[in-house]
Amino acid sequence: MKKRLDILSDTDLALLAKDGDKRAFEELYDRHAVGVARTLASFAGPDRDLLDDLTQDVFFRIVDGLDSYMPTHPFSHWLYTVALNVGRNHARRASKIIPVDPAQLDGRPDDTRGGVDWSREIVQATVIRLVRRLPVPMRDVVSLRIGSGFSFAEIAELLGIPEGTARSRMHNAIGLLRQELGVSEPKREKK
Amino acid sequence: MKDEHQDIEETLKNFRHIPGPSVKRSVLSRFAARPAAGRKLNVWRRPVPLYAVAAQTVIALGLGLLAARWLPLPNSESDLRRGTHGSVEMRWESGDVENAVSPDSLKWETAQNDII
Repeated sequence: MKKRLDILSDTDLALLAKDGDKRAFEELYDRHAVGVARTLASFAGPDRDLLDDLTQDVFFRIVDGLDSYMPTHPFSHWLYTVALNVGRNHARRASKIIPVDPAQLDGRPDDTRGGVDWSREIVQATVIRLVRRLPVPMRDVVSLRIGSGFSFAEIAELLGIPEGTARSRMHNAIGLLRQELGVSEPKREKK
Repeated sequence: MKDEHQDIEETLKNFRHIPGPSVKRSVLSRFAARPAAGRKLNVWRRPVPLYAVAAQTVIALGLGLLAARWLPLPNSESDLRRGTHGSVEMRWESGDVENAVSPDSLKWETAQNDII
């Protein structure tokens, strides 16, 4: 039974969930919860409790809107549009700039509490926080690109912009992040 | 430049947060509490629309009036006295007129005719 759900598309699962199939909706949640959380991180930062709240908010809205879902667009487009709106709303409410601590960029290579390389975590968290400070049009593109894995064509369709504009916004966003991080290239992690 | 950009993008993509189990529980609970969509109630549990009630009432009244028109209802006191309402036409058609009235009512009619 579980295997049967695995092979269904998001849209098919959404239609089953619309008719009340709880397992279909659970499959949708399992597929997209992490991606939604990653998308929201661009707006909320790496605060994991906050990401839980916002992710829950997104899926609550999906549940409430299931009755009116029509398969004219892929389910994932709807889902990440809702995630974008939730993230934007949060950013509007928060609207405070988190200052970047340059010391966090150094990392602590010998600090491996619990087997986790906290230097990587710190860099990651810092970059996530920097994304929050990006101009809104750039931040939207970055959040969708890293969260949902959408192509630039899909991102352009979701945001209602040309594909070339989506690409250039992503490129410019990365350039700004590089400036915020400093001129030097971040340390590469040994694998 | 491209390599530096890919570093940033990879760093962002490597950020992974798995929402806690309480999030999934809450979401699925909300889904379970959702009104049953696409499921029809049994016939006797479905709400009856007002227009259907009104239409049925009108039809019932109309049929009632139609039935009343064809029922031989008593239309005079004499019919009631005779006790022949509803049966006069039938006996008249069969020719059994004399038996259609009682002797007492016949006297009453005779008296009336005398007055006229």
